Amino acid sequence: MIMPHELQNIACFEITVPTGTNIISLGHVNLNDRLIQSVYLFSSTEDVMLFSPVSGKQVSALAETGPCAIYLNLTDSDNEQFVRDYSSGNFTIYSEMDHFVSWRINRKIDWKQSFLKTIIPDKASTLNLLMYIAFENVASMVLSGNVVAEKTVNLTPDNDIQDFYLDTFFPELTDKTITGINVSNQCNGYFDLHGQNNRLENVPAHFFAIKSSKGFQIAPMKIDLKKTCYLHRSFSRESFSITLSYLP
Amino acid sequence: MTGLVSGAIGVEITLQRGQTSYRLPAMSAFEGKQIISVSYCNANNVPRTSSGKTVFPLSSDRLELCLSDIHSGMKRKYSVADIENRLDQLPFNQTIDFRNSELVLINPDNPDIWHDTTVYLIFWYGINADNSQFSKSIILPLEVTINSPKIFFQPPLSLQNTHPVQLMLTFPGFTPSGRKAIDRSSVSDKFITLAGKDKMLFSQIPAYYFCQSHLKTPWFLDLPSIDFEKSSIISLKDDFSEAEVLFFNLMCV
Repeated sequence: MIMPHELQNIACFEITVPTGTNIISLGHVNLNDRLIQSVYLFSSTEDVMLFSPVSGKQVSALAETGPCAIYLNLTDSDNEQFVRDYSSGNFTIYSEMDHFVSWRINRKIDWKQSFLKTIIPDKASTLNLLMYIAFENVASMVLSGNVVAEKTVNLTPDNDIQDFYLDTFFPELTDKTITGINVSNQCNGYFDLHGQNNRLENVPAHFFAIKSSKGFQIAPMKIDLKKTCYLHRSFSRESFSITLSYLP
Repeated sequence: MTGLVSGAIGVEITLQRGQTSYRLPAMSAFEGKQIISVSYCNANNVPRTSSGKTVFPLSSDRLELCLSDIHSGMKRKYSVADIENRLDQLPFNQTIDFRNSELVLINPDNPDIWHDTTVYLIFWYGINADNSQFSKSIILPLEVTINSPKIFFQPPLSLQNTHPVQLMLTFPGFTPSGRKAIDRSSVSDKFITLAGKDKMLFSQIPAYYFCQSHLKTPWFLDLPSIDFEKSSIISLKDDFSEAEVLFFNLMCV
């Protein structure tokens, strides 16, 4: 049975990786007291190029940059360096593929002692990547046996950068518990979800398009639809669909 | 595959003109082992077997695997194309009587193309279980330099006394020490053997299967330890004048 990774909270950070050999501190990650579930990088691909929801710059296509290396090093709040030189090939999610390894950290991290080690050839360009950190802050709602309804809307972007606020398209879901998000393949953007006690910040829609055992799904939550939006961030003008599942 | 894997063995079956049914070789290493998955190595990912034979170059839909259960004696047929391609992996959960199991070539057309080529199957044994619940795991790096046809892992001290749960091969442009690492196109001729304390556990497994990020279902080890000094990598390439570097991460608990 395929059990997607349940996302309760996600924080998004834009990471700029200069050329040469560098240590990039993660001291700016303000999640020291959180129980961290996972850390992933997000990269465009040549075919699905996205803009960053943070800066509007293009998210680099890591596989197209030629030989380069990014290694994650994490130290926990007990001062144990428990992740040493973890290759980005394992924890980078590309915008149209599922070539990554799911993992669970289940630790509080001392971000000041944590860093990325990067080796980028001088002839390459500076990389612009997104880093996603999933964490927990409350017990998840258990939904076994509940009947779930769905609503699907079709959207067509007419700009590279366009925000679709969900209350416009799903007004009847105000105050409902949202249990799932599904998207069509051409959904080249991000969801910025504001829950009552949680936030999923700028989550690539692609996360919800992964249908293998590595897929993701949101933890059931009540969402403030007025603040929550789908952020289209690509050259694509293809129509796409968003389906929300909810408790009726 | 799913589950916890305690070992795997590559099995070679060489096809001959005029013969369509092939008994699987009897191997003592499989005795009493519960097979939880079977993998089919296609010629794109693994052009040659670990012994250097050319891999069967045609579509896997010409092949059928007939496995006999050692306890019930019942035979069950599997389409090798399903083994290769189905997204929801075929469930295996049986102790196989290899002497009464066979590979069948169901379409023997064009024998000039397949005669004397070899079907390479990997039989994975272990237990079917929820394989993703490891709390407080640690992740360590492991570089291996290949400069001869067979090399042994050169484990750093940090890997001593570790309980491994996942070995992950990736293709960074450079290793953490700054050495150029091989890319994915160069891995198809590499085979990994992992040893436990007193026996071989994973024998001649294409390195491709350790590239966990590219597998639909990454797999986990069910071993007390790996003796890296007895574990090795075979490379089938001809020229070793330039060393190649493989980079792994090892997840331990």
